[in-house]
Amino acid sequence: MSRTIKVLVVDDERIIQNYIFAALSDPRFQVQTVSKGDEAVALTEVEAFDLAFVDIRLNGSNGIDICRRMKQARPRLRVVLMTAYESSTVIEQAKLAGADLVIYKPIDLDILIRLAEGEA
Amino acid sequence: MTKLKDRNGSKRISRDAELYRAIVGNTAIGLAVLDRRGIIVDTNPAFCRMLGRTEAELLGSSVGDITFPPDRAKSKRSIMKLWEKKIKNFSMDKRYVRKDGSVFWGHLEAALVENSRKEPQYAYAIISDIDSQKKALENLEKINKRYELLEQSLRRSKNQYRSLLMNSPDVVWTTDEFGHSTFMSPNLKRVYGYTAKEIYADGAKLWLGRIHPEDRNRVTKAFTDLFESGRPFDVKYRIRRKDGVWIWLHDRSTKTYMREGKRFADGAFRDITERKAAAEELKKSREQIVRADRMAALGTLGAGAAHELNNPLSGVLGLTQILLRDTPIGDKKRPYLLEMERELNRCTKIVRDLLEFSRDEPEKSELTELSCPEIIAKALALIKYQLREPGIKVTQRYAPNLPKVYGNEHLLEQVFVNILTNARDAAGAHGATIRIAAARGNGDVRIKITDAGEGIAPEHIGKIFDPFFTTKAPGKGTGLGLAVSYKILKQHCGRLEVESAPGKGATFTVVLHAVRDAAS
Repeated sequence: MSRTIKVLVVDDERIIQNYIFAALSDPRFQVQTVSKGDEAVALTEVEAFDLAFVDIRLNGSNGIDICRRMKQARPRLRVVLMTAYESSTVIEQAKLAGADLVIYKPIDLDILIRLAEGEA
Repeated sequence: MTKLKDRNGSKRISRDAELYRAIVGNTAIGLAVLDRRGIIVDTNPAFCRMLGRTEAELLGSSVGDITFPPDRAKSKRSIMKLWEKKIKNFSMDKRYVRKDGSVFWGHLEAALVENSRKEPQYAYAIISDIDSQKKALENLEKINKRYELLEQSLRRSKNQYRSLLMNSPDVVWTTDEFGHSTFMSPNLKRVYGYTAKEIYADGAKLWLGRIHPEDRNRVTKAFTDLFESGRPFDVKYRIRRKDGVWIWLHDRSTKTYMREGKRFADGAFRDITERKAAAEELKKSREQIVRADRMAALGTLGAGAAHELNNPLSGVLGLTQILLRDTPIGDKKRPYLLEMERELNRCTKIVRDLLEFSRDEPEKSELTELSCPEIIAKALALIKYQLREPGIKVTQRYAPNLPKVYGNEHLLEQVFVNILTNARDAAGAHGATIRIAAARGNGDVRIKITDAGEGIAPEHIGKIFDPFFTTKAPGKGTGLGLAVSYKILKQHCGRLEVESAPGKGATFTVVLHAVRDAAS
């Protein structure tokens, strides 16, 4: 039996937090949700998350910055940046910040689970 | 009357002299007898009457005194020749001066009187008053001259009039109330192709019969109004020239008049095709500017709304999918959840289109050299199931050596998907065909996508590129496909054009700049 996958959701939209939390309400996952970027970085420093879903547009901070700081704190953390729509320049920057993936919302349920399982 | 010297003194001579007196005294012909110096030595009452002088006044005066000065020289020359015997006699027309200074024309016949030794003794002249004849002739000449001048100026003004009519852009006409022309200026042929003669022969048919069907009623009504209520005739209409080309005429006439018991109107028309085209062009570019402004505003608005909507929609969609996952097959709630999922997907599609629509210029890094047939093939692959189901055939015809274009592959693919989806929806009937053809234009590549559907209503054609304009059933289209495509092509410095007529299908033409050295 594999160990629990620790997931951090960073989004200031309650409904997105709720969706990802509900989607991964499975004993295989342990999900924590936060609204603020700084809070997410601080959490990353103390908790060994496997995966973080981070919205690119966060209230008060930029998801790309948060991604960079999380990666600095924990290089092995997989970071998936979420966006409604961004230009290729932003996507380029996200990759430079160390993001493993940029994904567009809405995120299909199956894809979300496969991402969490580390298959996608 | 003086006595002529009677050298012989014989009785016979005296009788002759009496006879002579009687004749010259009663005749209406004037007589003057001159000596060598030109002095009048004898005359008769007729000549005195002509000159308004008495015999006493005349006798002893010189012939020069009674001759109108300009005629003196020629008169003197002839008499000299007579005296010199160079001529036996002469006749001439000359002018005499009356006592009151007035002048009259006389005709004279002159000869010499010789003695037995053939020596000239006197000269005599018989004179008739030809003033009235001469005057009549002069008048006639004057009239002739005036008539000639008149004719000349008439000819000149006729030529002027003709060249004016020939060079004028207006064709001037006269017609009766039935549309039969009785006059057409000769520049007609240049403007309309037909000659005036052809129009005279069959005017009504060659005029009303060749007017564009859509304009004919309007023209007929305006023409009837002119004759029936005197309303000025001022219409612009399309008419087919002899060579079959349609032109726009501006035709005007202000009033009618009666001539020989019939009613006529004079008017003029002018070819305004070019002006009309320029105005049309202006109108089109104005509309384009307005549309661009409107689209930019809608884009900004749409993007704002789309960003706001995307998170809640994504969340609700995700939660719906979770509910679906947790609801066993056969459960009564499943169809509702499925419907929710479907509709939420539709909403997110609109949001995505809106975001695409409000997207700024594509970044340079995304632009590559692309082959149009390849992009179209990819677009067709994306919608192949949507085409296969209604049995729609697609034909593709590409010009050899079609240049590549420079663009964003993903965006251009989306353009073709949008246009092809519309073509599929328009094609309607089972087994319909969508034709795709690409050819090289002037520095660009033109891809035409034609469907054989019902075509676009004229009142819709100006709106089809507007966001949210759709004629599809609710739920079948977002009304953003063409707006997005239009915008994408504009960002590529290309164009999207449409041609359609009701019942005749529609052709969308995608115009993209060709990569310059691109025959590969």
